[in-house]
Amino acid sequence: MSGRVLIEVRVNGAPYAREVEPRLLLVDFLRDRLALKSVRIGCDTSNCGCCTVLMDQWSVKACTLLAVQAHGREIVTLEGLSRDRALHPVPEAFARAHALQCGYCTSGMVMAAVDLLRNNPHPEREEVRRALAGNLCRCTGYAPILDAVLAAAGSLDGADPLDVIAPADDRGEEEHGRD
Amino acid sequence: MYPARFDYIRAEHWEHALEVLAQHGVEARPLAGGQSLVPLLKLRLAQPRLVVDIGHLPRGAVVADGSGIRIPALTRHADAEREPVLGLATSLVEDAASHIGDPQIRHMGTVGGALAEADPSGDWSAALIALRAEVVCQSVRGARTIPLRAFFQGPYSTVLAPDELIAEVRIPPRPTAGRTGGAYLKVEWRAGSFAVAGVAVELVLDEERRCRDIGIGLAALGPRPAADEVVEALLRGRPLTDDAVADACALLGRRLEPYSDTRASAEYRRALGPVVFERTLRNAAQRALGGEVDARVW
Repeated sequence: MSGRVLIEVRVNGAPYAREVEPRLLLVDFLRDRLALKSVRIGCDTSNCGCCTVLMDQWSVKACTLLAVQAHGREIVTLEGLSRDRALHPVPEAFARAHALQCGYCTSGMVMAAVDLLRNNPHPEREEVRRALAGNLCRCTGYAPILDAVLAAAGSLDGADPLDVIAPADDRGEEEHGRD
Repeated sequence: MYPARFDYIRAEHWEHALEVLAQHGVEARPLAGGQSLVPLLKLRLAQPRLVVDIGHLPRGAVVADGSGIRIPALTRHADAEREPVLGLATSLVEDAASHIGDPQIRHMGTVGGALAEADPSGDWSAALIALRAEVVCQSVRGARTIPLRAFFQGPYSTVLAPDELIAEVRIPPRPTAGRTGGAYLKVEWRAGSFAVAGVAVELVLDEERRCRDIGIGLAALGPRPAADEVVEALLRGRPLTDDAVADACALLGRRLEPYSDTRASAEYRRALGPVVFERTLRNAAQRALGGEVDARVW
């Protein structure tokens, strides 16, 4: 009944063309079709933010988007921040500040933090709280997460967090295969 | 939970979307930012046969001219929050838009989508009702302009026909006489930031601190987003003394028809509504007099 739709999307710098059911959620497209497991499902009610990715450089909740809404757009996930085992400054700051325990919320927190730091390179602690309002953590009590984001702001020192990534990898189709 | 199967059409332009809706009527749902529709699809509370995607269409610019301020329906909450044209005209829009959901939701959700959703706790609805805004609705049959105060019929229910789209919101021209100030405050449910009680006030004071005009919009305090025209009439023409404010709060509390839900009981809302109203009213007055306000509710 529902015809498949072709979507073309850039993910972590690489182009993909895939046929999808219109009802496929973006989170499932990224996890199941592109094997990007950092994008997590935590709540199914659009609250927890574990599915946070960047779409056209705005943070969005991938569980609350259809994959078809990403057609023609550019997605960045945590996998796109670090290359060749070198940690990007934001996840590195999380590690140093002990800003994760179970780690389930972490990829979403990092992507939300990247969105904040792109728009506000030197935030106050209260601004970090507001920026992470869409991301829930059950383990840490949030204080070390706030510390991590402020530390990351320090180490980036005004640099665009998306500029601190290895060059785009056009081997997308080979790396993730066809399904 | 997962959406049921549906067909999908990506509108090539606005008129194309209107044609598709005219053809399919109640079996089609428009998709703008999806921050209301996608959760409904996942819960299967909405099971359209067809989804018409308008989210990628050109958003258009917010424009202020002699006829007031026009906000295109596809304006995202995050865009409205930062839009200088709106910030210059009123503090109400920034207050309301910046407290919707969370950043991720504000990056996708649109004002048209929010108004069409008609959530009783809607922040945009309360703010725009206080501003006496209108919506322009379009279909293949033409366009009509509806005052927002007559737009909501009940929870999640509006006067929109199945083939109609909200095209833009119009805020009337700002008053030229008197001193204008607006504020929106809400007590929010932490997950998702839905209002437990929200009040929007747009106030015009004269030099003796007398209320020349006032608009009051309520969020989560009744079955549909609504004004309180009786409390507005009570305050219009009166100096904003402590007694006048107390009278208005008491009247508002008696007039409320609050509901109980998972976030709060009706009794709690009846107690909370007047408190939020008083703080919002004082913030609006402070802004009208040129002062700064602490925009947190406590």
